[in-house]
Amino acid sequence: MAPGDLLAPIKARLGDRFAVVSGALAVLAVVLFLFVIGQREAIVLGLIAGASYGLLGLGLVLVYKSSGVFNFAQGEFGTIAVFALYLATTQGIPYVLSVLIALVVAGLLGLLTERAVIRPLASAPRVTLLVATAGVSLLCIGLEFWIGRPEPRQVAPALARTDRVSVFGIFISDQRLLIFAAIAVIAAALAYFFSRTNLGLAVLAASQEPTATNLVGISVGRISTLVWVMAAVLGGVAGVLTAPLFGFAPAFLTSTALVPAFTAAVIGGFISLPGAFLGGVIVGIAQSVASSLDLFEDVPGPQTASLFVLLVLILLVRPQGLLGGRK
Amino acid sequence: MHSPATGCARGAGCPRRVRLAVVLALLSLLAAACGQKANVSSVAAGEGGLGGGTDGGAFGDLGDGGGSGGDSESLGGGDLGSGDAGGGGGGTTGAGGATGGGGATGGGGAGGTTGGGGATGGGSAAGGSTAGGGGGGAAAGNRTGITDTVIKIGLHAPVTGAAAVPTEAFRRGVPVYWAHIKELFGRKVEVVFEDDEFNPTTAVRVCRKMVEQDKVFMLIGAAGGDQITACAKYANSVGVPYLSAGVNQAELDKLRGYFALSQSYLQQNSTLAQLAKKTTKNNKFGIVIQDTPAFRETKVSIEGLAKQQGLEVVYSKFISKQPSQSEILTISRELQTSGADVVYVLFSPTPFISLAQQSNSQGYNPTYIGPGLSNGLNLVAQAGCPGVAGAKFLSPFPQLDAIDRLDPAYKSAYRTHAKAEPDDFGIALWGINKSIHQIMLAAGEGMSRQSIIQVMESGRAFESNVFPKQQYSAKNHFGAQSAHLLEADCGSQTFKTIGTFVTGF
Repeated sequence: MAPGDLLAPIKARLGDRFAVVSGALAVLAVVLFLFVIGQREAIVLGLIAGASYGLLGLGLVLVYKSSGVFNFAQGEFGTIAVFALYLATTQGIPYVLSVLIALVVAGLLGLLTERAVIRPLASAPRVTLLVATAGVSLLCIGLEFWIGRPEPRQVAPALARTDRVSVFGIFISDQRLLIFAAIAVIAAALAYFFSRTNLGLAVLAASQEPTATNLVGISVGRISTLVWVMAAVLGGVAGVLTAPLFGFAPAFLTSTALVPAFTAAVIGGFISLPGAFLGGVIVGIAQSVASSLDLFEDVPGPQTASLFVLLVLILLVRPQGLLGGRK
Repeated sequence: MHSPATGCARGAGCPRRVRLAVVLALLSLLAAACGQKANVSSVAAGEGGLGGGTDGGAFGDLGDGGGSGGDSESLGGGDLGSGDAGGGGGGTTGAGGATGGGGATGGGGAGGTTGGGGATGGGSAAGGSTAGGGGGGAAAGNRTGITDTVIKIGLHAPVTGAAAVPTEAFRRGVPVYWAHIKELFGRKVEVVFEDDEFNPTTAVRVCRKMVEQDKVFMLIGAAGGDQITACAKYANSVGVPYLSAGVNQAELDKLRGYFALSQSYLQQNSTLAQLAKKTTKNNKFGIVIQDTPAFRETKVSIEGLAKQQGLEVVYSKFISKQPSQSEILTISRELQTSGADVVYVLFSPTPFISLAQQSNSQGYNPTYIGPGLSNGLNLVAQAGCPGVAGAKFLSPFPQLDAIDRLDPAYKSAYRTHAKAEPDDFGIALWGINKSIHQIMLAAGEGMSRQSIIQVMESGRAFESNVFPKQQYSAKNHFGAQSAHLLEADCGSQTFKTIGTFVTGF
């Protein structure tokens, strides 16, 4: 009996989920392999970095899932929020209030982007919108340089303790635990929003059948505004949680996390919220391994190369991503 | 329903065409990142070389082609195509042939120590008594940028981009020294400034603009190894003297028109290896260097020198120019695992601060040491503490705590002309300009681009008491002999000067 025949009953039983399960098993196998060859730390570091990428990726997925647009401004929604947080805290405003101000600023930026850029181009090809979001990103970077000056800066973390949890000798700071918690809560909330609420269903409907959605009395324009504000706030959350870990400068998230986050979202399927996190972890692990293996010592930019290889592999083997479903 | 724009379903079903567009966009980003590599920039510089060649103004290369006046092939050849395109080749020791140089068709007149020549006209002997003119057709004492009232020099630095320096501080500091001096040879000195965006391709573009449109007399690079290398190669190809704070030596050591105003990274490594030996408690030494071809020599050098000092090099890796969060995490962890208690860093401030913060959050606080300019600026201490506490960097200029002792004029001049409180970046600019002032004074009122080169190669010493003493020769354009040692003090969030004009430990 051929191997394909052996798998046939399993394929029939799992249907569309076969690819998802086999993909997950493949990822698990790779993780186990890395564990066996002594790359345990790469797994932990991948998880840590992947959480940051996944958090940014959630906003990317939200916009794509809702409007079919690849949002290159997502990183700058977050960086602008970080600048707002910095300015607020240096003015002596309490931290929690400063965070709220930062998220409001991010939300306003999302609103402005939607009204000034996205809505006028609503009927344009998606590629035009993609380029438009890149323009928004460049504008934000310019503003950051102009207003914020190009200096490295620090913002305080929400949680300062760094040595509470240790995995394989690596401390996972409370701020990072907060990122894990945030990503879990946000992913669950968004999943609930899209599957269990009328507004969430309206967002999906506006994305897939805008004319019909309008005809049944749902304002596609308002839905679009809501989505972009939500995405910008998610970017803001990613920024205010991540910046205290690394310090920041203009274009902080765009330069350090946007491309990995995009790759994470593609790996995850670009419409799957848990997929964004899973993709982030895979990207983080791949980058950690590429950086730490002596095999790649003479390869210039092994981390960037690993992103490229991952992206090409996933598009060749499973273009819809690990959790993207067969649509 | 199908969107007419994309021809496929929007939303949940991922359109392959749009997906392809994203992949292309990501590849474009990667390509843009590649654009920051020095080897890409060299293409641009090469273009500049051709342009320079047709003007007959190129200096050519040091060393390779020199040695025998009259041998047009050897003198004319050069990395930048100066021989073919007409730039005069420069040899280090032109050895007095009757015809001192010669590119493809030109030929300097006087031979001498430096050879020279050109394509489109061949210089006469006017380049100077010890040189063959170096500049071919334009070699008769090229005084572009000097008028009856103004001497114009061009300066580039990254005030935007990944390794930006503070824009306002920089712009304030640029004119202070020359405003203080008031005039040189009866002329005002005007500094044209351009932002190179920490990008070598941009650096070549702005240097070309300053040479061709602003008609500057000479070019200065303030910071950034890749940008300085790219711009220096361009400047050399068009016969414009180029001075910078010391960075890498690779590629720059071939350029006749390039001079380092402070020690190169290679030169600083010997002192830093000794400092590491003096600082370490467990003898374990780590190295992290920016991943750029020009810095590979530095990595090999510091590894060797550390071993000579008896240090155990437990970690030595490159870091991307703009590292991702994952890369910062990984390197931080690997350093910690290696046990290095002294870590040599040579990369830009923003990722350095990220690395130091990340390590600090893991309870890992090694002593960072390194060469260079920007990591010893106070803004690094302000944004990097407590992670950078105790970091020690060699620097061409002293910090604010020592400048009064070395040059009492600086602070009052800064307050007068910049109308602001003095800062450390102002000291760097003050030091660069003061060194240039001395070189110009030595070249005399009738100075030309060629005579600047000659006076610097003459063996004369230049001492500004801010930048280290410099003494160059025809063979050595890296003539600085010491550096200041700065240490990050997280109590005051500034760098303190713990040693001036240090040559070793």
